[in-house]
Amino acid sequence: MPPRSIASLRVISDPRPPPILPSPVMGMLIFVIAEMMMFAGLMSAFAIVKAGALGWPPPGQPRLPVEATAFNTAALLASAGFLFVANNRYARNRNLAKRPLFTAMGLGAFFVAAQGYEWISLIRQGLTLTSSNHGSFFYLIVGMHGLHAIAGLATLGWAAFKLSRGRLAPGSFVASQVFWYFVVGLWPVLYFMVYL
Amino acid sequence: MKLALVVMISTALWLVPKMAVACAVCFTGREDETRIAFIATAGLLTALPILLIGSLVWWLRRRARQIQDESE
Repeated sequence: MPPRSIASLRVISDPRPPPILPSPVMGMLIFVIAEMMMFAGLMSAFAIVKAGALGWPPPGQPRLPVEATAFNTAALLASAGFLFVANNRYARNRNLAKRPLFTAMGLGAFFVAAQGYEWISLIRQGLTLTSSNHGSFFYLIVGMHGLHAIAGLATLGWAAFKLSRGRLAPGSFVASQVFWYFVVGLWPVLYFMVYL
Repeated sequence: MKLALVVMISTALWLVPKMAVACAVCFTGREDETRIAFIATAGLLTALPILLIGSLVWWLRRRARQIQDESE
């Protein structure tokens, strides 16, 4: 096959301006807005049922471990702090971002594991999905958040993998951070509504 | 295979709401508090999408103007 001559090559210039936001970030923001609406729906249903109940938690149902979960909450908030540090370091030197990113993931994994342990303990005490409205809403709302936390960890894990290979695009990293900040930012609201 | 999938999804949709017992209007008791909760949550669910999408659009416009100013 003869080599292509320079004359046969066309230079295509893109007349469009650069995007305001990288596409992964824009997509993630829209997704997060949709997820926020889903949680707002769940919290609204919970608020109405709680307001109509004669006692909360209902008689015979275990109390939620407020103090232990406060500790988990602190770990989750700290993970967001480490992710912020990772982002700052990524802008200067990508290699320096690895350690805070892994620390953030570790703290997030601790939160998920501690929540799982808490669930086992509550199930043993008799709080199940069918034991009362309290149990139904607790597992529905906290479980949904837990699923999001696991998805967020998977996203951060993917970002960490790409970072270790030196192929992490800034837009993708920011998108994974947006999701994790959503998971972290939502939790104090859920903690205040469901646990306190 | 397709039929099995349809049966599985239909069964899940049939069983899960019964398991969850999370119907938002299945309650009795304090009527005033419930009414306030209904009004507050209706307000929240009405305002939240406007607020979220409005904030995003406002921020995008602001950023677009910033980029335009920088390029000029």
